[in-house]
Amino acid sequence: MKVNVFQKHRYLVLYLPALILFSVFFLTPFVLMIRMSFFIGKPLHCYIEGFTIENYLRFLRDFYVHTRLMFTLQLSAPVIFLTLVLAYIMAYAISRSSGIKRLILICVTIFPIWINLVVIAFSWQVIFARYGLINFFLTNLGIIDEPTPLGYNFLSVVIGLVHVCLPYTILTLLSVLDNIDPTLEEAAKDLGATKFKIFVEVTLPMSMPGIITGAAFCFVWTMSSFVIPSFLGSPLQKTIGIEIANQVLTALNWPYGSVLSIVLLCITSSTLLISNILRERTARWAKQ
Amino acid sequence: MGKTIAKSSIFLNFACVLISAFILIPVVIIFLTSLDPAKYIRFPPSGFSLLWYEYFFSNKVWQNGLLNSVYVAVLNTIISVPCGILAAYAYRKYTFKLKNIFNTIMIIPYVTPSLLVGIALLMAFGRTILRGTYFIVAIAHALWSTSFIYILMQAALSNYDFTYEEAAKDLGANLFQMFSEVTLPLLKSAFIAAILFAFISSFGEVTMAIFLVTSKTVTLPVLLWTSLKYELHPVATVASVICIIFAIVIFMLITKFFGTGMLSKIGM
Amino acid sequence: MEIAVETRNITKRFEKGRVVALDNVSIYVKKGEIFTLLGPSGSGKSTLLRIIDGLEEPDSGDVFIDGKCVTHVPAHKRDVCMVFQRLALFPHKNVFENVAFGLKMHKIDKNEIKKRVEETLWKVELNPEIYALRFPHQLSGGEMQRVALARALVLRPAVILFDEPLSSLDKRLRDKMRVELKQILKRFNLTAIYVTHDQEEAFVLSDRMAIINKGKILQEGTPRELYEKPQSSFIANFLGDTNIFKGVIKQMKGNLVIIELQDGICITANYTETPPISRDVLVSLKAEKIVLSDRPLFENHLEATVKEAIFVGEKIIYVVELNKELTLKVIEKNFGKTWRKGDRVLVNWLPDDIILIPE
Repeated sequence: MKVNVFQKHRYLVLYLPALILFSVFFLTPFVLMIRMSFFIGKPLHCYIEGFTIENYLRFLRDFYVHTRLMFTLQLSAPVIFLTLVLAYIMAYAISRSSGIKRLILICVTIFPIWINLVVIAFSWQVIFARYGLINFFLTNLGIIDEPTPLGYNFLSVVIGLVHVCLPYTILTLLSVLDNIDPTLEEAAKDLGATKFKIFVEVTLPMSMPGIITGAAFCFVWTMSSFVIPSFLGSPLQKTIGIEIANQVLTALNWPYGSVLSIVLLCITSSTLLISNILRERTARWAKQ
Repeated sequence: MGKTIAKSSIFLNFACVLISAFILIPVVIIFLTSLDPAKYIRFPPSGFSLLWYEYFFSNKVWQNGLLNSVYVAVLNTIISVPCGILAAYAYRKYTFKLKNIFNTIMIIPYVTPSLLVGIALLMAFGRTILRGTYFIVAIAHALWSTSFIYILMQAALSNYDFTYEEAAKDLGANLFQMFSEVTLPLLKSAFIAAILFAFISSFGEVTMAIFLVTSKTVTLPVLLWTSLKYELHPVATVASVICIIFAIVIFMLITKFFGTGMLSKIGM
Repeated sequence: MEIAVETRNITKRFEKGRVVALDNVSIYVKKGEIFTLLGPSGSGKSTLLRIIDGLEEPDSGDVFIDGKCVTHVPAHKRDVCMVFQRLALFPHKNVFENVAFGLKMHKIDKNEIKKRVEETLWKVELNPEIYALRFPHQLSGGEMQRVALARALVLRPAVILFDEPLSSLDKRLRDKMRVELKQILKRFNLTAIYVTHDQEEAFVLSDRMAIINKGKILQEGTPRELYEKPQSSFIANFLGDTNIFKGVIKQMKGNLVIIELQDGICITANYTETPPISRDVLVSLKAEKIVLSDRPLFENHLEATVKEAIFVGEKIIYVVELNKELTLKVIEKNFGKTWRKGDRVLVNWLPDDIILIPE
């Protein structure tokens, strides 16, 4: 009797819909993207079938793309730093509170997740605008005489990205902080450690896995950001994401767009991979 | 819980208020400016009126955008909820050799930048009949939602006792009876939460949609994107408020059905 | 004698064959009998129960219920019911709905369901008027046990399976419930297979029992047979407090054997059945069969020193030392003369109480 593979492995049946979805609409497009990157790129023609490595060579000598890549890397540093600091404070406060306070803080944290990026970018535009919130306060307080537009610069892009990264990072850190056994801190206190010492010696090292994951995700989101910088930045703040979208949508050079996409994909996935290894490593002793 | 140590200090509370303000202020500002009848966006608002709301709801283009968003979100929910729930259920119920690999596969779409997924789908299906259909936009969203629901349901199912199902089988329930009499009622709130999550995450998605919609299937966030690209028209504030209201309603439903315990599982 | 359940050569492996959960297990259970599977955790006893119930399929071997082979029949079509370890009362259904569940699944008429559920609730001594509408979380531990039992009873299965259902109760309630359970099962002449790791529970409940370890049935019989005549050191050790020694047979005359334990310390034993085959034997002596005294009471007696005297209420546990390497555990009633640490005593026992274990 032939044994039906699905009867023997029931889990396969249950995984099947998702696996089909992913292989047809996720894996296949990315495989096709690799093929696309070897087609002949001709601006405004999407692509011409053929085989060439010209697109990759172009990437190697495309100085403009290099500057955009460097800029995005530079952008990610302050975003990661600010997000981690703010998220850590918030997550720490949530993990130390209970009842209604915890509920409210979690709601505040999570709520922006479902507000779309355009709305967030737009609202920051309104805040930074010439007749926006900040200028209103600055002029009324007499700090400046004439309202000046504050948006469309490095800082506004950073603020927008921090706002987007914050909720997820808070939640990531919270799940780590919630799992720290409070008796550990009590033990440290009992042994004579000050509040500051407890934090540096116990809490912070124990939350390393969350910090690593949080930083990795902030990096990935900044590297692939596109909506936020294109609203809140000037042409000087063009990220690699904007350049990729530009190649695909405006320049209509799909093969070159593919090459840039693949480069970005390699950067983000290797970051996640490394962060995962690092996290496992720190988590191993954090569990002790 | 014995969280007696380090009672939150004044500094911590103060910092918390500031960060909360940072998170919430943009939303409040948008809401206030949407009620301003002035032709140019400015703060403080020059008055109070529902002018732009009337404009929004009498305008065919915006109406269409809203409807399209709902269509896509519903379609996405139909696709991603079963996929995500079934896989999470299998993950919790069975032990098998390739479990870790399956688990990783399921999470990959969640961590892949949407920008790249959108582009890959555009290139793969941009020249097929699927181009610009509701279906392809919903599918794009479903990749992300399926992963997301999978992660959420894994957490929800960790408290679920599969012995109830065995008991049902033991007492003579067939697969269908077991599902309708035991599994469904016990996991009802988790399923509802999954549906709501799927709906709202698709409703507000913009990065992938930008690459995949046509003028016929354009969703509200993409419409907002294109209109804001050219001018800061006040009607955009109304569209934003509508997006926010959807988020709030769904958010409240989720907390009602689910409590915030589950919500904090969204982090990685 | 009618057989209710039988398993033949059941083998089950887990984790791709790396762990053998059951190794060629054959048992049978007679109609109207309470059969207990006793074994330590991880011995495979629950797996066997789940295979009989149909929740798992064996890799090889067959299961018979009422003489019919049901190896490949799914759980919901088998005429057996299980009372689960964590009871698994449906938390979203009240007592009536819980008990009625099985009948509803079998599409039985509503009035009939009502009648049978109420009848069954009375059987387990729950008044349906009081309990029918309560939810599991409103019940006490003992009441939940009864509902779980009723839920299985109501279907009138050929056999009821119990997977350590009493293990979550505290000791006092557990003692009470196991007696009650036995009474109910016997009153309605039900067939049951009971899995437990608690020997006292097994002794109280069973008509017949089997001891299982590492996926193998080691011995089966009545509780008394297993206790008095263990066939392996594992069982001798597992049941009761047992002293086990290695010894060498010195001499055999008639039914008596003289065994040297060590350096000239010799004991006499009776053997009733087959004589031991090799000269090296294991000797087992239950702690409660030893009597301490200052004058010799029986033929078998040895001098010893009391090393420990532990007071545990109704009894006293002594550890006595025969010489540097040989110590004995002795349990005596807290009655009459008691001993203190350092006392010189004689240890006495009857030759019949020494059991030779074939090794």
